[in-house]
Amino acid sequence: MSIVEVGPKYRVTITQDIRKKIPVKVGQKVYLVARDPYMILIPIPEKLDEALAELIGDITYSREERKRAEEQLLKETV
Amino acid sequence: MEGDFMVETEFLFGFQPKDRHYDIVSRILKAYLTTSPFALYYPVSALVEFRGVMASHKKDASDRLSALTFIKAKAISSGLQEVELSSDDLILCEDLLMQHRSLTFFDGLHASVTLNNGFTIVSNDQIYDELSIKRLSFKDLAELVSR
Repeated sequence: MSIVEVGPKYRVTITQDIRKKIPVKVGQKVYLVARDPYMILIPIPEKLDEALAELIGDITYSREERKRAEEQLLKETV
Repeated sequence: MEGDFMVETEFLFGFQPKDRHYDIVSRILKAYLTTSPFALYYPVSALVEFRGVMASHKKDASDRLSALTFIKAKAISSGLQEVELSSDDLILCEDLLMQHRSLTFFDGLHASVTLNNGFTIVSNDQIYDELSIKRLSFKDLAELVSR
């Protein structure tokens, strides 16, 4: 954990100890979320398509998947 | 927003290379980013469905969070705009579900967002044709954006 200062133009530094755990490169995009009182940074991978493929795995979207999603929604709301 | 287009879940799944629509979706996005001849939207309802599909396959919250973030990042970096879900969409959805028994919940929801915003839906699913919604297949959209 690090404590850093908010600099000009509200810039903050991602310190080395954090980068060792969650690698980020200069120029890489991050998704910034306000979750009061926190601010969350989610690094966007450079190879976004491949990262999505890894997360989605072998799911092949179809009408059958739509029905599964609806059943899932019902299951979670009951 | 009249005259604009809206993709749905099928298109968002096409963001990943293993999907059968990946090539055509990539082609559309590449051409769209260059020309942007009209506004192209993705609805929050598609993200809700996307999340449901992931959850139904036992993908945990961490994977779902990353996948949703990456889908949004890819959509925005490709020039797509988000369209929110409103109570009017939910009300129209129920009306559509009452009138068209063959529709499922997400069919109705995406259809309502399309109708309430005057969009043309981008989908290969003929279910929307029952509702007199203007529809464009991925192939048609690919042709339109590369003109």
